[in-house]
Amino acid sequence: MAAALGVARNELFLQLRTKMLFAALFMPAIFVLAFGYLIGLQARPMQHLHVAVETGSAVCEAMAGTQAVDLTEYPGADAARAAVRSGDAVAAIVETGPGKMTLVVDDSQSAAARAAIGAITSGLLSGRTLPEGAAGPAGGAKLEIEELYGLGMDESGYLTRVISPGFVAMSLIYTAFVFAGFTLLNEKTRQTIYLLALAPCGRGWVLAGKMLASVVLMLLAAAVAAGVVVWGIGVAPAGSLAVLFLAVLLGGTGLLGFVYALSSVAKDETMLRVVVGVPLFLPMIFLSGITYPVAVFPPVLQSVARALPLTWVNDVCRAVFFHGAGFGDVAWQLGMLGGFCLVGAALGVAAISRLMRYSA
Amino acid sequence: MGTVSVQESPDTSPIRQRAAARVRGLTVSYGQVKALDGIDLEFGTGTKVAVLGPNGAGKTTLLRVLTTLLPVYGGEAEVAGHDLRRAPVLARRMIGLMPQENNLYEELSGQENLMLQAALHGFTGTEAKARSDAALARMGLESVARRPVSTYSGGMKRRLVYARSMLHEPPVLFLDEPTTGLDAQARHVLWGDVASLASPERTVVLTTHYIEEAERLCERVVIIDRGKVVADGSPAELKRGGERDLEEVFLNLTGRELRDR
Repeated sequence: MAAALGVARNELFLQLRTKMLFAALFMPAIFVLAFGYLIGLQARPMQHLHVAVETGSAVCEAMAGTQAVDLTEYPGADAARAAVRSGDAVAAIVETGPGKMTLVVDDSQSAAARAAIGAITSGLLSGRTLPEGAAGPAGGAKLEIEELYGLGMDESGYLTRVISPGFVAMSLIYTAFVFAGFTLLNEKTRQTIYLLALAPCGRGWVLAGKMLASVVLMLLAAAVAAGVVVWGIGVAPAGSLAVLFLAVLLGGTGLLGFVYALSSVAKDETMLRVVVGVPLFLPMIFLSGITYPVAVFPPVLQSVARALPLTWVNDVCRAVFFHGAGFGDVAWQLGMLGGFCLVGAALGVAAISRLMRYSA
Repeated sequence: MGTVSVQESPDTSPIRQRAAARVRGLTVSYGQVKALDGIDLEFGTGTKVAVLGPNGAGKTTLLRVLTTLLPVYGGEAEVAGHDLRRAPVLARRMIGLMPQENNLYEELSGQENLMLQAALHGFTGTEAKARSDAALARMGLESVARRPVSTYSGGMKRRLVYARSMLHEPPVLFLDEPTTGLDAQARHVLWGDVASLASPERTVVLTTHYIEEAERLCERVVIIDRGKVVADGSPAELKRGGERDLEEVFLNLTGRELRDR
């Protein structure tokens, strides 16, 4: 235990003395600010419930004249969805089959706004006699909710609201690269790995110390990113931050383990960037919903994205910030992240043990 | 090139009867190259032994096996009675190593480097601090204890590495070319400290290219060449063939041609 704490303290001191710590802590925040304030895309509270409906549809007729929402008619279901995607409407109600209504909502809206839209439209539909062939929820028809992510670049603040929680997830990439990749490379090139290899304790303790320090710093970096999203951009988390930090802890630990494993074969910085950056980070940066919503990808890429651990972290971040998620709402993602954490940690232990054994 | 084999004078004291380190048939290969070729050696407790040899002879490999940094693939090895295959962690408790390289955390201070070593050996709080302060004072580094190691001269770094290897007072100390790169003053300080380590309970094994260093500090010299032991005995015993000095013995045994061209 003393050895693990000693190694952890050593790691913390090392990171505090290098500029890389500040890069890892603040780069995600700088990105958020760049995408947010510098491009002028701040999240703003929703003023009007613009709802898109299909021209001539039963829903359109049923809701005509309501003062609760601003209805905008579109020539078809696809056009109504596109209105949501582009930020022109916060929701669309479309008929997706006989007796089946779908509420298409902008996922980046807050949980309160989503609930309001759902309640208003359900109430409107159930309180009216729908034209023949278009039964509302009160008549036994099902009202489904479909989530869409918008990519509008207008003043609606779509882009920022979509991606800003993703920067909490993105902070994991920076910190894993710095706290695991670079530090292990430094241990190898400076041969301080010998010193750790000579510790008269199980090598698992040495790795536990390294991981402990890295995880503490990773949580700190995630907190900085979350703080910028909340106070800098003005996106108030609707759900539990404890859930968010649990996801960061599990995903981050798994990621650290994978980075230790991959960087253990790197001989220099260039090779480190190749072995860690290309197979691990590039797919996650582009496909895990940090910069572009998974929903806008083609089906094949969506399948790939859904298999990436950072997508699960990002899902949790978005669910916490916008949908008021608690532990039960993201249990599936947390379970997957727990598995990823165990696999990553096991790989990291094996890689560092091997490195210490053959470092000479 | 011949082989000189000299038996150590018998010593019947209980401590010296125990071997601080022992290898039997130790073989280490790097690909097709045999770095150690089935060597047998035994270092008695309380002795100071110099291991000499040309570049690539196998000196460092021997130390790396004995300090558990390399696995024992062929043959047997033990330190302080602990089999290095079965109980490497127990053996590490008894070992101090000063490697050839100044493997220090350059961003940290000298004291912080030593505090890590203390923690790795299970010392915490005031004991860790006391040991680190004592080790720094031992090498005359107390005035720079809080400075980052990156600001140290090469000699100061070398002394810090030595201080670190001694911090936990290991019964078996391995010094791998300890004075390489040191100026005369620093070498003098380090030699003085190694000489002061004479104790019936502490064994020092050092490798060096400075033959006068071996002769001055150690009562026993082992010469290794091409992975084999070619001479083993006290400096006086090795010069019994009429050689002027130990360097002549060394060159007679290992040849005069360059090894690494």
